[in-house]
Amino acid sequence: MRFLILFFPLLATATADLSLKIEDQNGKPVEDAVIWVPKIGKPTPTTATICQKQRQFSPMVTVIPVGTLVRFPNRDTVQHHIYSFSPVKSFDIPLYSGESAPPITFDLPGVITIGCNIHDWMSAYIIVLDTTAFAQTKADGVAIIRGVQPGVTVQVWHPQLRGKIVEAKAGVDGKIELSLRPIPRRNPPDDSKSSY
Amino acid sequence: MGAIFLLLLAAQGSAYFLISAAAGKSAQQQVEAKISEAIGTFQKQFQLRLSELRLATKLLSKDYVFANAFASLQNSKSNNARETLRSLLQNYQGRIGSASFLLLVSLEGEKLADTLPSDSAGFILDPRLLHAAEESPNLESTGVIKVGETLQYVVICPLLMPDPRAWIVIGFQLDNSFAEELKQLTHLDIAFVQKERIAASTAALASKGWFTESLAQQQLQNVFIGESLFLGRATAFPGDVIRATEIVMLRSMEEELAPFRDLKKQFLWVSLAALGVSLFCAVLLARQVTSPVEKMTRGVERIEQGDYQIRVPAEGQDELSRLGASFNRMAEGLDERDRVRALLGKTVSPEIARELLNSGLELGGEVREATILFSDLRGFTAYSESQTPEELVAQLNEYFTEIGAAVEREGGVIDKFIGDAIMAIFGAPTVASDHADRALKASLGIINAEDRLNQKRAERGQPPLRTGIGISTGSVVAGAIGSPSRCNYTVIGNAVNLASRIEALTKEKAFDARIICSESTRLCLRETYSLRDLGEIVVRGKELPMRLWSLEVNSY
Ligand SMILES: [Cu+2]
Repeated sequence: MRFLILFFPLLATATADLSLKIEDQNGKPVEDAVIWVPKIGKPTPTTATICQKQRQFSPMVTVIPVGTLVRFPNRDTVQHHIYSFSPVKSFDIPLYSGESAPPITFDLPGVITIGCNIHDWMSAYIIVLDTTAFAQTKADGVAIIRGVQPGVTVQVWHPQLRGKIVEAKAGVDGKIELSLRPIPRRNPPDDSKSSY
Repeated sequence: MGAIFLLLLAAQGSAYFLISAAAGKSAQQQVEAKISEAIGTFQKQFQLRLSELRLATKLLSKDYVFANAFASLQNSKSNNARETLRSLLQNYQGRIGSASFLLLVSLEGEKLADTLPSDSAGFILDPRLLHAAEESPNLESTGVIKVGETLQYVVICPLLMPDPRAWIVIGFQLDNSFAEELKQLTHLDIAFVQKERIAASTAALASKGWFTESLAQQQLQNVFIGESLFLGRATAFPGDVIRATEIVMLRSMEEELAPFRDLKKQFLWVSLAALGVSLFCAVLLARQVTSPVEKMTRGVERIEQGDYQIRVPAEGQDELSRLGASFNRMAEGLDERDRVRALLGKTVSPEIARELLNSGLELGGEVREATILFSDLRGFTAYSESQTPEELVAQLNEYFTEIGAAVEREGGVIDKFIGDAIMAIFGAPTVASDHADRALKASLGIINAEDRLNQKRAERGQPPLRTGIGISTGSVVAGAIGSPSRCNYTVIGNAVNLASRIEALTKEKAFDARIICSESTRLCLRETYSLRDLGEIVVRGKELPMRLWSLEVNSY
């Protein structure tokens, strides 16, 4: 243990990466949590794609730098009508197929929730960040933010935080615990998979 | 008899009360079953109503047009926008139909728009409802709250855009008409009670202006409403997170027991009839028992008074008849004994009869000092030959009656009649120390009686009677003498023989004596009599001469 404690700061200084593990109140790893340190570096706009496939958004959570252009290709045979009532970026793309939905540029930081007027359960989240220091957890709950010293306060977002953005500081073991709450079902009616 | 009747009455009474109690109990059980069933019915019915409301909230919750309108109107704070939102809510309420109001609340609980009546302007949604909704997986909650003066069941759901952006509240009024609606289904009276106060109820309860006693949930209990008794049970509204309101289902016991009351009345009549019949039977039975017993009692009383002729009815084989037969046999026995006793009293003197009965007719005797008197009619044998036996017996009876009375007057006992003679004893069986005096007085009495009788006989033209009397005193053996099967009370001794011999001497003209007594008698005398010394005389059967005395009749 003593060896580890001595070794960790050396390692962190050497690589300058922040390794975090996000867990919920029950100690279960949390997927699709977004962690960032605001206003670091100069974010470079890119392009991103959120597909509508099998009447679901894919991916469900998308993290993008400010100014990124997002496309919404429809891979289903049914039409979709996607919308956002989020103040950061509200939009409405009524009934479209294939590639006909116009791409949208997200030029302000914030969280945008996208829904579909045809399919109540469909929802996706776009987190627009004005920083280069961010990461998104995988199924193991682990995220690594490159070029950030450990011990820094981070911002955390997750759908089950119900729209809140949480400020957190990882412990020595690099863990952050989130208090998650259930949210309404997000699966199509014929899908047997349970909601999270 | 009274006891039997009381017993019957007690049996009937207890049966009545047992049946009464059982019926009451069964009525209670029936009510309990009815209420249990009614609660099931109510819950089913209410779930139906609830799913209707839920459906409405779900449609509204995800309605794009509503969300769109809400988004655009929320951003503008103008009165116009608020009115539009309210108008929109009214429109939706119209679609839902059963909703009593629609309410839009911000995520923080602030009222945004509503269709509430104007009197509930200050209405604030109970934060517990929002909290419960936030905590539930599908962001919904339900509960019973008060809105103004009305009781409302509310369903809360989020407005999803697609994130929750506001709370939609749909109300359903728990009013009298809903209570009546439930009564139609459950046949029970219904009350919606909040803090032990009726907020709404069926008409039957509302008219009584009633406040419940505190009702334990899920427990059947008696509730008095005005003067009438109800059985009631309180139950919670399904999904009520506030838990301040209960639905109370009540059944009037008066109504429940109405059919039983008729039955009870019938039972009462049957009971009374049975009681009457049994009373009649009891009286009849008692008469059969008491009548012979009364007769027997009277019979015993009569026997006590000495009437042994009484008999009681003794036909039949029962105990009383057997008792009657025994009684009759006893009476017969007594009668016979009495007759024997009477007969005995005639054949022997009453004193002897008493002595014989007392001694138990045991053979044996005792030595007594006694005076014996013998009397004999002079010349009667010759006279008797000229008389018919009937005349003779009549004259003898007349004579003996007179001289018997003279003997008995002095306490003497006639031991026996020997033809026209009698033998009388003084000093036995009854002890009398002056037996010699008594014998002398009796002899004088006999002569007197004879004189009176002779006057009567002279008038009748009959010859006079002349009696000679011999008296002697001495030790005699007195007692029952004879064989065990037949015995007499008598006295034996020298004095007896001597008296008989002395009596014979009265026939001697030389003595000119009607009454002669021995020296032993004279020595026993206590009083003074006119006695004439007859001198020393050898009496027949005696070796030595003895002094004899003549009792002078005229001197008496
Ligand atoms: Cu869709």
